[in-house]
Amino acid sequence: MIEHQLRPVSQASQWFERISAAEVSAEDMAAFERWLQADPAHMEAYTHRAMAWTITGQPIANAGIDGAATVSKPRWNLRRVAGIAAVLLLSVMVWPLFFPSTETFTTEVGEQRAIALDDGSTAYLNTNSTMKVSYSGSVRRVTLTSGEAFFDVAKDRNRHFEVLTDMGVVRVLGTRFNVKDGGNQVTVVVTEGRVQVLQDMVNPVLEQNRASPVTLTAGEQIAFGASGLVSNIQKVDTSRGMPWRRGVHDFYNTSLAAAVSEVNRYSKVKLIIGNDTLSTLKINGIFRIGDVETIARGFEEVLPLHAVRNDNAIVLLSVREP
Amino acid sequence: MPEDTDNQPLSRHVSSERDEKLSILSGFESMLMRFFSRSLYSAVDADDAMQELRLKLIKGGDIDALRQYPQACLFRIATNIVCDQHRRRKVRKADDQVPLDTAVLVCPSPSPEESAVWCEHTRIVCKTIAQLTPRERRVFELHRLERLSYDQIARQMGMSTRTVRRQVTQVLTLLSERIGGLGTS
Repeated sequence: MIEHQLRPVSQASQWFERISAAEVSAEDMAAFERWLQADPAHMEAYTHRAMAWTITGQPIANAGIDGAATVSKPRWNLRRVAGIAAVLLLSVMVWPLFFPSTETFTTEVGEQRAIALDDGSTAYLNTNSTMKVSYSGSVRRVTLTSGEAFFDVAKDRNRHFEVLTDMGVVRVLGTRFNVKDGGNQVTVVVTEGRVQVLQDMVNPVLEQNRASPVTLTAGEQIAFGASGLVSNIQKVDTSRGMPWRRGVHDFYNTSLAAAVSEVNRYSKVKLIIGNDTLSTLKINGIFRIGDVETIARGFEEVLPLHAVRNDNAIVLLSVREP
Repeated sequence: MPEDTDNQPLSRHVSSERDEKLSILSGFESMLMRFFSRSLYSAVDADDAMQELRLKLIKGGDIDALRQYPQACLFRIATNIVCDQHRRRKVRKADDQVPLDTAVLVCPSPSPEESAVWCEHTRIVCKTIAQLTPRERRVFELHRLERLSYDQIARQMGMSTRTVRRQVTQVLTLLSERIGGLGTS
């Protein structure tokens, strides 16, 4: 018998289990009948339980598992981080001798690096990116020369943490945020805390030249270019952080053109859209970063296209060629 | 009825039982259709599932049980169809082609609405699974993706069947609660 004091969601879960068993007693069938008829909320809860069953039966659950496991992949392994940390520790020790110091970090196409900064902050450098770090007694300054980085900034009341880009400055005291320099525009996403975006083309470093700052809080995104803001503040889902940090592309109503350019950032084998008509097709899904072959196959599954392999490219062609 | 049953009392009996079953079914058809289309995330799959339920009911349904507790009988068949759907699924076959460690997650998009709900729920699943311990995650994965029984998992993981069942049920209950919390309709 299923206890009545349980919440409908738990009762539904137990009934789902019991009813899907090979043998169900006549007593249970009678009790299940009464339970279904007792309250419309029961059928509702039972449906949700069935949905939970379906949605977890797809490779989705696996992608979630994969995403979480990305952290332990070789390129992110502890030894590597420890190695970087050790290098940094060494640099901290000799730092006063070369004050102020600037260090440069770069990643190759497809590479990602975790960089432990000496104030306890961590920078995660995404594919094909370059970043300079120069800390002084009054400011923690990072210059993102190209590419994308996620910053997990340790709190320090006395020293701002600043990320300089060609097109503006992002400044915080302690928070988590992502900066992506796409070449002609910079996108900032905040996943925790608050950040100030100071947009200034003349000299982003000089206080007096700054335009009034825009403040972003968690779950917000803004884009700016050389001549000002490209977008207003937009809401984004940051509950799971930045997808690239989990090793995945998370496309949601993304045009094929945008998805392809995102995929190509991580790969030497490039996807090429063979027919313009394909560019505006929308794609939904989560894909492993760097696995271009599988991504192309995934696109073939859901879009009217087929993928043709070349030497260093995979060409996507419309299957409905006139 | 197209069948010629004049001299076949058995056949006539089967035919009338079939009619009675279908007439009981008709009272719950819209409720079942709604259950299928939501729990299978697809109107197309729901149609197939409904057809399958009809066949199962006619071939194997116990008429006495159906008279006594119609809704329970129909939803038992429906539940088994939902649980077995991976055998029939054609569209979302990414797991058939791709090894598990490089699985692609492709949101099927038969209609934008369905696809949006699917993606939304996918996010919930990813989020929930990320909160599990590696061991809990393994248990859940073995059950839902490798489709092992509770007993098989218990042996493999060196746990009691009871614990395995409890863990899996907890996750699925939590998920159904979170799905319900979204106000799906």
